[in-house]
Amino acid sequence: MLFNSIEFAVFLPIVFILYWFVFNKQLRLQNLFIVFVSYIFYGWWDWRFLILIAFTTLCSWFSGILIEKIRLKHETKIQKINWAKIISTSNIILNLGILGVYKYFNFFVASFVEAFANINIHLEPATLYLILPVGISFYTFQALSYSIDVYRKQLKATNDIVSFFAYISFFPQLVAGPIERATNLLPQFYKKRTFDYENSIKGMRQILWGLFKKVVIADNCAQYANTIFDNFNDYNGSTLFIGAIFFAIQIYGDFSGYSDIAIGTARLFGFNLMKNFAFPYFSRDIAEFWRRWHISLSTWFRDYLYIPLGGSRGGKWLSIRNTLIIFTVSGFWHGANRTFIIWGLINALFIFPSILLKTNRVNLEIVAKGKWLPSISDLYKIATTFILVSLAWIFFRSESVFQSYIIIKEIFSISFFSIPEITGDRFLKIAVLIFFIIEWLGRESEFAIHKNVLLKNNITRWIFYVILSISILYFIGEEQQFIYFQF
Amino acid sequence: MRKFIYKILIFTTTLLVVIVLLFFRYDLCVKVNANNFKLPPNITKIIIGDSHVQLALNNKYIPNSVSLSIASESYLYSYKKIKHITENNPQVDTVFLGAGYHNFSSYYDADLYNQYSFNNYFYLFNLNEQITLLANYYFDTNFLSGAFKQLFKKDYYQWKGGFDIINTDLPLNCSSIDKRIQEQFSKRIYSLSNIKYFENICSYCKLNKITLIAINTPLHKMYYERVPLNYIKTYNNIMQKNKIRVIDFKGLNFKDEDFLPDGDHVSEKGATKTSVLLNEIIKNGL
Repeated sequence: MLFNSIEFAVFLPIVFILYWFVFNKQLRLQNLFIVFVSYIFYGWWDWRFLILIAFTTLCSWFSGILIEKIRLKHETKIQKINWAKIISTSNIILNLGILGVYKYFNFFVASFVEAFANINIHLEPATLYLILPVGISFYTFQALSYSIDVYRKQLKATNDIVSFFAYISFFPQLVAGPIERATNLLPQFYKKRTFDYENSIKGMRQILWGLFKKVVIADNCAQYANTIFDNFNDYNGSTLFIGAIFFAIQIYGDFSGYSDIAIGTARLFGFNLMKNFAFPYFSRDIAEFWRRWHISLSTWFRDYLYIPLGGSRGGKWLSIRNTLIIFTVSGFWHGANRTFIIWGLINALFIFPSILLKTNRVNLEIVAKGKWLPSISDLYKIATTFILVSLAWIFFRSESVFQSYIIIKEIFSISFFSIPEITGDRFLKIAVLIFFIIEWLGRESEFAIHKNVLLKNNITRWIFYVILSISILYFIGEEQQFIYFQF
Repeated sequence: MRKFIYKILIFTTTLLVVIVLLFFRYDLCVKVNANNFKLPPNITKIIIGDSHVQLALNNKYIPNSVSLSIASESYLYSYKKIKHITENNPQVDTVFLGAGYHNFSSYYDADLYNQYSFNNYFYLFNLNEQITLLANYYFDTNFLSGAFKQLFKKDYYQWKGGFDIINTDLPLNCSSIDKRIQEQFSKRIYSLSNIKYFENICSYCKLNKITLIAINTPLHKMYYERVPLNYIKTYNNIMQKNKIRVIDFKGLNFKDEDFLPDGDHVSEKGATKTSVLLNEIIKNGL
């Protein structure tokens, strides 16, 4: 079920009413109801994959229980650690194995065949025609986070299987995050939820803003980005550059829009999910960008990969090695294609100078805090960062490395100075401009229209919400999938 | 909770009021403009149908006529159009309606309620029909947003269409013809909707004493040979049953260059030939 579908517009109020008015008497029943509706939500796409998600959930739950039991049963510290390690590792291998089969099997087979073809050995590829289950990377990482946290004793294993199923399958963030940590979300299922008016209103606003980002900004930019990327051979450098900018705006509107809808929806049910985007396109350097973009994934990699690898404690070169690993793995997480790996590597390359110069943690606060406008120097840094990020997105969006190469080559040719063949229609330019102004003015809040200075007056706010709703209805058209569903 | 629900209801109502106001504004504009949709008084013949007649009949060569045909138009919409136009333009006494074998194939039904075909015509339906349609298609965001977009448009008659030319350097070829035949006839099911509304058009024209003439536009020999026989038989039966005069251009010995690559649409040259021929037929008395 897509957030931007009529099915969801019907589903959400029904679930909301039943949740607060029918199943609110008993916590366990309420959690069970969450599991039930989450499975409907996921099964709407393809019910067969419910077995897979249930299997992943069960394995992770059992591994947690087993680790706890072993810790109680075994007397010596070494015995405890070894067994806990074996179980935790087995669960990680199992989860990553499922992810690997569905997501990477064909990629590895094709790469293997290609490598042999280079030395004139021709193999018949045994490709499996597997459908990639929606959101598999997201819920697998969520399950892994639980397993690792229990092993690290940062979280007590839960005996409550219903809460655990609800934690893995919680429908607002099931298919495209935020990737919640068990330490944040799971305890919320243990406590009785009470309806909070302020939080729910905030949730509704966040849903509205998320829909606007997706339907009006992202889907309209997508039309131009798709035209330019699909016919990259026909366009000059300046048009291809504009295509990259369109895609940069599209992916931000699409993914942060999804996260806003997810967080907003969770608020309606009394849950607080972690922030996933913090106005990344106002970043002044790449390191800041990565602290503000897809925060739940970046911090996941930081906590479960970067820090265990030694983080930045072993000096500059170890830090560079670890950063390289993180970005490569992050690229690969996005998809089984070399383009994603190169995209990861390019971002790592962009970040290296700041690690070497120890300037990667200079810009921790939001830009121009408490001011209306940024300084010239900040504006320059924001523009440079945005251009670098947009150039890297070319690899993310392209179908092949060759396509990216042609686009980049053309952008850095003399044709960059020719007149662009596509610049987008006037409406889109105005909409994008207004969108960024609102985002700028709301950059110190949780999301752009929350406590925005432009929306202090009640009447202005309501007019603004009506305009947002009308523009969503106007552009909703054919339901466009969210980009991150494929991951 | 009560306060929250109250606020959501107030907001939804506000939004609905705005939408209803937009709808009535549009409806009023359509009604006001309906009288403006006047054809010139000398126009007595209208050409209605899908892309086949749209590309084949150039009204420039047919005196006192206007082409109001548009691609992919199902007979449901042709019926509504004919009614709307003839009610506002009583001088119209002849309707040339595109009717080929493909028009009675179920492949037409796929486009019946898509955004492209449906939303352009939504405001040709009366309020009751509009409500029924909305009730039937409320799960289709495509349709809803299309209908909604219409509220902001100033062109109230997007269904008008008109003669059109498709320029292509591609020559007529077997694979395009096969693809077209496959697309149109592979399912071997008939379009019940098109049959029903074709009959409705016939009845309406008879009742209002309007001459209805079915036009089977030129078909390349290679295309015609591939049309399944049962479609040809059904086509003839429908025409006979409704006692409709058919001007059949399919047997004309047109050159390859008179056709587009698919063999069932004509090129600009083909259109000129077809239109001149039709004019001669009209001159000789329908």
